[in-house]
Amino acid sequence: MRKLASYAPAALVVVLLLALWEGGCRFFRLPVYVLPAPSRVFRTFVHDLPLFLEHAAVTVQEVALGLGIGTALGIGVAVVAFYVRPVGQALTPFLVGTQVVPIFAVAPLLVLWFGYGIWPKVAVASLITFFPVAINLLDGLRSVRSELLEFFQALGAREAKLLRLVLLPAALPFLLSGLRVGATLSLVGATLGEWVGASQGLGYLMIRENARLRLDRVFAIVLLLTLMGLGLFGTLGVLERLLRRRR
Amino acid sequence: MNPAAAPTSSRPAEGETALELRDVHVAFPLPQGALPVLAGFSLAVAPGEVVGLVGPSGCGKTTLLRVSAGLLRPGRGEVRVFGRAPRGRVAYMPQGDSLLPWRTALGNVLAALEVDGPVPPEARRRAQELFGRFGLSGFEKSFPHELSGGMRQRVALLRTFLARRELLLLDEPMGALDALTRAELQDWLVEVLQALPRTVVLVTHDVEEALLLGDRVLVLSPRPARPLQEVRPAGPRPRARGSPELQALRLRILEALSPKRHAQTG
Ligand SMILES: Nc1ncnc2c1ncn2[C@@H]1O[C@H](COP(=O)(O)OP(=O)(O)OP(=O)(O)O)[C@@H](O)[C@H]1O
Ligand SMILES: [Mg+2]
Repeated sequence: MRKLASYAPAALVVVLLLALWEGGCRFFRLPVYVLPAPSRVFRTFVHDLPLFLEHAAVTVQEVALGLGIGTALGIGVAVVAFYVRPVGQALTPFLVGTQVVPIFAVAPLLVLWFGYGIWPKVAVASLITFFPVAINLLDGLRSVRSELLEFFQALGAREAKLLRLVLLPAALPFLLSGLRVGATLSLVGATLGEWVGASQGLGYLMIRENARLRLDRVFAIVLLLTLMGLGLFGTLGVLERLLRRRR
Repeated sequence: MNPAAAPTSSRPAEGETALELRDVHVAFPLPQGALPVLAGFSLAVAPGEVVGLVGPSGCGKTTLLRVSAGLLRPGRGEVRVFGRAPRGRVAYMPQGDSLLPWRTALGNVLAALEVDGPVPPEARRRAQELFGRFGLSGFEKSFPHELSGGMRQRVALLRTFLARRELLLLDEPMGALDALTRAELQDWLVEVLQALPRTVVLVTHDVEEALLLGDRVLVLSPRPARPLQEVRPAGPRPRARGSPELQALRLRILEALSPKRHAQTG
């Protein structure tokens, strides 16, 4: 209840802004192709939802594949970098460095190389997911306390067993933190990939409706993307918190 | 057959040494040079024996156990557990909290068994039975953070006992407990050793604990650790806590441990 109350000021600001926006649109009689009123956006959102969902399915598919591939790659690279010291040393600055490279800028190139299908977007989402997952997991593996391991090492556990029994479970919350960062950015990445070149997906739909001056639809899609991002972020956040609670 | 009484691997031949350290040297590299922690340490533990190790903090007790467990290779010297390399043949209880926080008490105990392969259902049942003996019944499904400090130590001990190894190395199994809980756990460990006899090397900074539990107590010097004295408390366990003999031995050990004496002996 108290937590709910703490959101009240932010909610109030949102309501105020929406009211201002709505009022402005009505007062100045702004046409849809300049700025649609929130009420109009909402009506479009509800009315055109089937269309939006059809394209959202494509975007979700790209993001899901990207998350899967990026996570798998990230886990593989982190585990190798953890065991093979030179690989870890060689990769760490690289992994950190690439985080500041705007992957989105690479999106057009990927479309050029992979064509117009879902794969360039999957590639963008994978890349975006890969880096935070790899870095965070490597961090997590390196921070496992030695007492946790030594009990099993003394019993003669081999590396594969240590990974399964101790290292990976211990580093799981770290992996999820990385995944959470990757997940939201992946959504943006996939949408951007669709902007550059696609025949389906929410990004493609945005560009198309923008060209048709259906700004109400563009805004409705932005709203949908926001909700999707929040859902993804929230789900992973809850998962992470559940895992961390036991530590 | 007693569920957890004996390790499944071949029983040691009579007269064999359970743990043998011969002229072991360990030095840790530090920026300002090597830090010698063990310099020619030798020790032999007979099968079935319980040896207590006491010594000042930082003298190298944990290092001694880690070398004995095969977790740390000595720079020089030899370590043998029943005549062979130690790795995989000892159950080592590390100092401090070493339970897996994401596993329940039972899960932690079973993890020790999983090292040797899939856990058959009857092994699982045996583990559950032992929860009673270890004063933990009803807490099988609790996570470590839901248990008291004393209970966590008992879970850690239980998994060490159940791991079916020939030699147990316990590093301050009652560390970080209040005096009352400690005394209670000590009495209880005496009982457990009675019911489930094992070869044990027990590190402690509590002299009385070593005397109550050990067949033999080794008093170690400050770093680099070397044996200063060996004390054999009279009579079998359980020994009376307040007995005059025990108190006399306690004073003798404390005397040997006091820094003043080291200043004299160099
Ligand atoms: N991995 C390590 N690297 C460097 N120095 C170490 C390492 N492990 C132990 N030492 C040093 O070796 C010495 C002995 O450490 P050890 O942990 O064996 O002492 P201890 O007798 O167990 O102490 P305590 O009673 O406080 O647990 C200490 O000075 C410690 O700083
Ligand atoms: Mg120690």
